Amino acid sequence: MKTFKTAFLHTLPIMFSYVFLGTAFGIMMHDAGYGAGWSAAASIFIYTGAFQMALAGFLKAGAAIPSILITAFALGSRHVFYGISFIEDFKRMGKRMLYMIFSLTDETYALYCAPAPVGEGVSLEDYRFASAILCQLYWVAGSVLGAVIGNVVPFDFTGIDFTMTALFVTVFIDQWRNTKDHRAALTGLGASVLCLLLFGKSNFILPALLIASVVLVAIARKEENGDVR
Amino acid sequence: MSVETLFVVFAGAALITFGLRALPFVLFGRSKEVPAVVRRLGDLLPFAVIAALVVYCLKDLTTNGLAMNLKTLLAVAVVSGMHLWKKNTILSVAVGTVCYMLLLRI
Repeated sequence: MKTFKTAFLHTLPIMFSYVFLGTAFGIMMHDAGYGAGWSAAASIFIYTGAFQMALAGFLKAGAAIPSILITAFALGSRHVFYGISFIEDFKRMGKRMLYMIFSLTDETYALYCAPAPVGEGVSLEDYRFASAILCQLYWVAGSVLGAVIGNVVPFDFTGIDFTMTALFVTVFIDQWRNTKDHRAALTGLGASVLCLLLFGKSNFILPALLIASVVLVAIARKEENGDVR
Repeated sequence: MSVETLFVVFAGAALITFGLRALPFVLFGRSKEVPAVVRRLGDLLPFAVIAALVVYCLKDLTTNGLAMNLKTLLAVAVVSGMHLWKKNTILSVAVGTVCYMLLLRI
């Protein structure tokens, strides 16, 4: 219970963003002619924000299966980089590992990168598992809500998705404060800005992460060869 | 779309999404020891990925007008300022988001 309380408190920023974005997705599904059942099915079984938004558009337009699945691949490809940091952590979680991998989104990833509020009867593994479940619940709840209410939104929530930007900024600051070695952060920042300017805003994240990974592997190799800073 | 087509789309997208997330575990998680270089990469990547996600969230700065960009940057400054000062994630996110939502409405 204490674990769930802690997880709830720390996933609050994600709750606001997921309920809001999930609702937006549900409304798009409703608009495409698909009800709460389809909307919930997508959020339960696929569970990836950007692609689900695209999916609603595809369903409305009656797009071909290959183009839909290629889009799923393109939009999901950045997640390949996320698991690399949690291989051993998730392996320790036994049967829960599969769900941890399945539920590894941008937001849960950021949460795991942030300092974890553990100790005093709350273990890291339980905290992460509870957070993962709560995050998907928020997402599914939003999706169903959106599909049910359709276009009738009682209040203008425009801008509440800034919670995500804010969360990433706070994690960035925490990470920056917790280490003296800023090479990785600067590599990520530099590669992203460069790729954003080169490739434009819709296609930059994958090349940015590829370039950053190449640089970071070079750093890791150099350290391995004894040149430790 | 027919229910069969929808089933293929949903199942296909679910498998692709999960497969991409699972790839590192399939590649490196099976052996007892994760290779040293991969482990070090795993330690370094979060710094780079979070930086990339910050840039991703701010990508509209490249196409929005000056007034909108000033509002966005001001809200980011508020979040950063709050976080450097109070070190409380929930507080920083809440104050920053309220600020942003208010700025959008002026």
